[in-house]
Amino acid sequence: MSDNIITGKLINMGWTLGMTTSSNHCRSVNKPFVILTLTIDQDDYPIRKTVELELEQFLQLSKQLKNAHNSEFLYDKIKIFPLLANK
Amino acid sequence: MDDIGEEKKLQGLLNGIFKRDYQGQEEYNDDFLYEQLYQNLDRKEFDDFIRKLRGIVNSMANTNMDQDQAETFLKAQAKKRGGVITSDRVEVVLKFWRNHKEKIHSQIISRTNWNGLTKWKLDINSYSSTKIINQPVAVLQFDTKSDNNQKETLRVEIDGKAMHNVLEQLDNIEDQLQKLGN
Repeated sequence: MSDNIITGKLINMGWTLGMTTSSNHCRSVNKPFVILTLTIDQDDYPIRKTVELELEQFLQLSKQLKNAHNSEFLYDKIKIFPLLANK
Repeated sequence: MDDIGEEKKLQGLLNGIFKRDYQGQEEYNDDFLYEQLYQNLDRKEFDDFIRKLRGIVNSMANTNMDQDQAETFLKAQAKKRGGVITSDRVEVVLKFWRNHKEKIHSQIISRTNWNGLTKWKLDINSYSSTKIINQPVAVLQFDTKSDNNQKETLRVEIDGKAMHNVLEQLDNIEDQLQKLGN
């Protein structure tokens, strides 16, 4: 069970792409990472949370989100995203 | 007979260190290991012994030694007087390293994540009996775990406009990854 649950509307998403070269646990890590910075609207004030993903995780997530977006049941592409309608 | 006993005890101790330090199995603490394996020693002697042994494992893990490097390292340690590695212990530690090195390395690498994603799921909320939803909303749930084991769940609701932003960012990330040749 999580210690903490945060719920809210996504206002903005930023990202950082990088490589962990080393850490105090291991001198030679050399692992790529993606950090997503999510600005979440909560009742009182917006907060910013970061999540660190491994490359594989990021690629899977990206694929799933695109699938969801492309789903016939989801968004009316023509009305909301006229520029993406032909993608 | 006595030598075999010592070898098995050392194996047991190394396994205990592995389970506790790298698998988070709290029950393999020093008290337990002392009671189970080394009651023939003075407690203080044991504490010193396990501390030094941990130091050896940490050194090997920290520099991610391969078998050859490990062997060189352990043999050099065996030459030191008063060290925990004696020449008959070299083989035992080497065998332990061969069997556990990969798992130890994975553990260590995962510790470089400070707020790492452990699992996630994507829900699409289209209908609700309690509120009117103008447009479907994607709910992305992230479970994260920090390096000091604090867990958190983020549930972000992504409406049409936010989804547009998200997809754009995902494309940007993928473009960048392509450029890096990944």
